[in-house]
Amino acid sequence: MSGLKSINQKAELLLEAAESGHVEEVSAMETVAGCATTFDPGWEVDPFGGLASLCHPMEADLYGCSDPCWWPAQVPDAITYPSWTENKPSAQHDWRELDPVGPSGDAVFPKK
Amino acid sequence: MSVKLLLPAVLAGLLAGCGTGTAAPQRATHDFIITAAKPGHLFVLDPRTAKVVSDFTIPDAHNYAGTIVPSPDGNVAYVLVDRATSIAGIDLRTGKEVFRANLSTPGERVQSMAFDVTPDGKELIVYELPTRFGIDAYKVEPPQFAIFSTAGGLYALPQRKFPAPRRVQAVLASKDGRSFYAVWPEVDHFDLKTGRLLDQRGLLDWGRPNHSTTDVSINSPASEPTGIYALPLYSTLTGPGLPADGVRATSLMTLDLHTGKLEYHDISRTAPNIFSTSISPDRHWAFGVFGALFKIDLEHWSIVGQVPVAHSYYMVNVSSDGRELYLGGNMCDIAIYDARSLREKADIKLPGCGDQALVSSRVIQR
Repeated sequence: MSGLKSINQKAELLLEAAESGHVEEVSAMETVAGCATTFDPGWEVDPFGGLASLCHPMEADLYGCSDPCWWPAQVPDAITYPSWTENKPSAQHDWRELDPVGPSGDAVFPKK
Repeated sequence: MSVKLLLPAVLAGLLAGCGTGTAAPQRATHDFIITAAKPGHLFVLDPRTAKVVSDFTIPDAHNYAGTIVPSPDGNVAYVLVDRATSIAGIDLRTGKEVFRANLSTPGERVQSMAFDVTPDGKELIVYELPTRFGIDAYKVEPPQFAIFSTAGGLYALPQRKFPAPRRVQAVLASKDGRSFYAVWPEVDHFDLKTGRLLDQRGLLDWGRPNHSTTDVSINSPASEPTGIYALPLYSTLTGPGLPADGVRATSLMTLDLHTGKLEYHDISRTAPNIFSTSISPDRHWAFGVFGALFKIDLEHWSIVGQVPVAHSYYMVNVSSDGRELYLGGNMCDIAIYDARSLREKADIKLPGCGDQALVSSRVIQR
């Protein structure tokens, strides 16, 4: 854990738990198939702190994260937002049509 | 179901005589690539012509296609669809749906990401994650293995169920036809009839000196053409002469589904990311892919070749003769590479450019 810096309360709890040997108590519980319970870096940075090992282009990874609920904090997952990619089968062509989403599952900026 | 045969004459000719049980002379078999893409297409590709020969629509896929498992005879593709809650079996000659297992029941959503077919083609081994929905809450229920008969038709129900460990990411049928493996966080070996745990070997805690626990993302269920499942693993290597924080190591796990032999070998330090790997039929090479295509020498356990690719790929399949590599699993193309030179030979675009979205493309022989 020495190379990681916590950026939210959950991560802080995890660091504290690692020191006291109680990691299991704060590990995320698997609730749905595929949803990432890891603390891996996301699209922002690769494991080496660079960019070279990231998916390229990001559209190559977008639906591969959304469908299996990988990195659900960064990507609207297909379980919480099942219609996010509906009628938008091609990430590389349809990305302009993908809306930001809110907690209710509705688009933040619905099209008029 | 709509069926478009783009090259019907070619496919019909190749399939003539398949499964007839007559004494007709054996035709030479050829590789075909199968893959799927949004919103619910199943494709058959011929690498010899670099063409899509079949484009089938999977009923009620609901904009999702994930794990693909071909039947051992190459006649049916079992595809995880409908947000991982249903498995559709599609006849690869006609596009007709011949099997369907909807995993969920009223009040209980069941999802899967891992399943396999037995070597005789008679049963599917499905790892299930049930969630019970109440009026104002849901309850995560214990995971389980469910065994379906592939003769179950369009309303297949499980023949039997066994308790399963959590976090399983791959189910691999043993070639003995009597057992199967569940991969992650251990390599668990189960009896197919009873679900009894036969053996358990470490994967997260693999017990290798100077290595940390492993970091793994299991993305491919493919073990063809060798029957050896290969998985890239990451860990931190510490010890004399190494920096205090250690160095990052990439290793390769190989699990022989014929013998159960499990091996771990380091293949690189300061490692590149490799998403998935496959082994050549001569078992001298493994190939890995992600942001680049990698060639791994399995005698010296080292990366001996690396070339950039047009975009990152999730999947790499090896042809049955070991001469070609098929890259796919995301975006809307399958790239064909020469296995010896790692030069690109062709790129097959999928009609409609639907995203493969972590589909496990596979190679069948017919």
